[in-house]
Amino acid sequence: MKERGTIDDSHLWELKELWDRKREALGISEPVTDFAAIDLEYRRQQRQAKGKPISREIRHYVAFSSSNPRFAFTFLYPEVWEVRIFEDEGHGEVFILGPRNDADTYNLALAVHVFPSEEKGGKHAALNQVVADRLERSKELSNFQEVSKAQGSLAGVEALEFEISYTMPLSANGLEDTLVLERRIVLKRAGRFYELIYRAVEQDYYAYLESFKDVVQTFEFREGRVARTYRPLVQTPAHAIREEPEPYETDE
Amino acid sequence: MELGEQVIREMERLWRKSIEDMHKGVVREYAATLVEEQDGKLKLVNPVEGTSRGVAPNLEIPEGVRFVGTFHTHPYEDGTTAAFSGQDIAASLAHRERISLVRSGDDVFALVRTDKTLEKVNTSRVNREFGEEVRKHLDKTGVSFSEAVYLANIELCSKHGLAFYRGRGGKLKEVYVP
Repeated sequence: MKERGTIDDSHLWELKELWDRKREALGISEPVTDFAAIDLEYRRQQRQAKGKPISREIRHYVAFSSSNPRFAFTFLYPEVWEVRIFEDEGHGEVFILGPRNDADTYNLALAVHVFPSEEKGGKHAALNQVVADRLERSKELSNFQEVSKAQGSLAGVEALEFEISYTMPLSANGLEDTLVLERRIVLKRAGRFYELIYRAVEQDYYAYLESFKDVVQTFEFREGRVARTYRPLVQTPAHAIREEPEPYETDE
Repeated sequence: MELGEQVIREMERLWRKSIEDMHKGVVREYAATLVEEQDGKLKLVNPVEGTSRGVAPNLEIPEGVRFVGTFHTHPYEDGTTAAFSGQDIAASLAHRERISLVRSGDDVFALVRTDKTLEKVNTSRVNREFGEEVRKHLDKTGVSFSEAVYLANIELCSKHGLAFYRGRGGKLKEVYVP
């Protein structure tokens, strides 16, 4: 038998009580815990400390799948990126947190937003209404531009795709604007809209665009699977295509 | 790192027991001993109930299995979660546990011994360093208690040559490997 005394976590409790008292005195609520963001940041710092460039390589892809009927779809995403799921009054979102930009001010993100159509109590009935709404709201963003818009199909249903750009004060000193690009594909199925979103600073946007395309090309509904009929909608500008795409493996 | 079905089920069962009286403002730590069976599968044995602040694992293991380490829970009445405490890390080092597990909320955390793990440990120093790390991170704006503990875990693993994993269910991802 090995000798091992009682596991005594009193110290942890004391630290927590100390923190609770401090928060109360400062009048602040407990910040949201996000281990995934810490993991990403830690990996980035480790690479920098070792003098290695921040890798754009995607080694493995894993499949997103959920038993929640609202998220009755699957797709492949880079394994090292972290998935979070949010739900709120008919809306749901699978949010995938990608790497930080070089300036350490912005996270690349992929998301699938699910929300009800008009027949299920939502605001919009048709795809073009959703797109118009998104574009209208985006006009408030600084230096907003609609880059492109196209019609196609995804997972066996009609889809609308659009790409926008805008600027945000993301520099370290907060004084210079950084160009952010965003691409969305909207489709409708069984009373719900599905909005696939990809957003990153310009430098990362093109570096990881293939990852978003992989999400799109592997996106399918679990029930009543249909042969994938995705065809590219918005064409990638020639200058944005990497000359030597980095290889990746899939688990499938 | 894959922990196996029995370990997943037992961690879940002991976590549920840890928080079954949470609505009354009462939580209890539970512990079990992690062993390796002859076929290499991991198993949790000897579940024991503790108090809100500690638990004494029973390390009397059956013949024919190898001691791997310990598992215990970290429940809090307000739903806060926390990875390993300084004392947990020191004990894992001192008792040469190959794998130490903590379940808190939906998250499972693991300390894994490596060929870089330091042989000697000064328990009071580990505890002190852990407290300093947690307080340092809490002094930063926007860091939660759970995050401060998590960051302190990474830092102490780095100092002592332990690997640190996190995940849900039985599939844990590498956070830090020396």
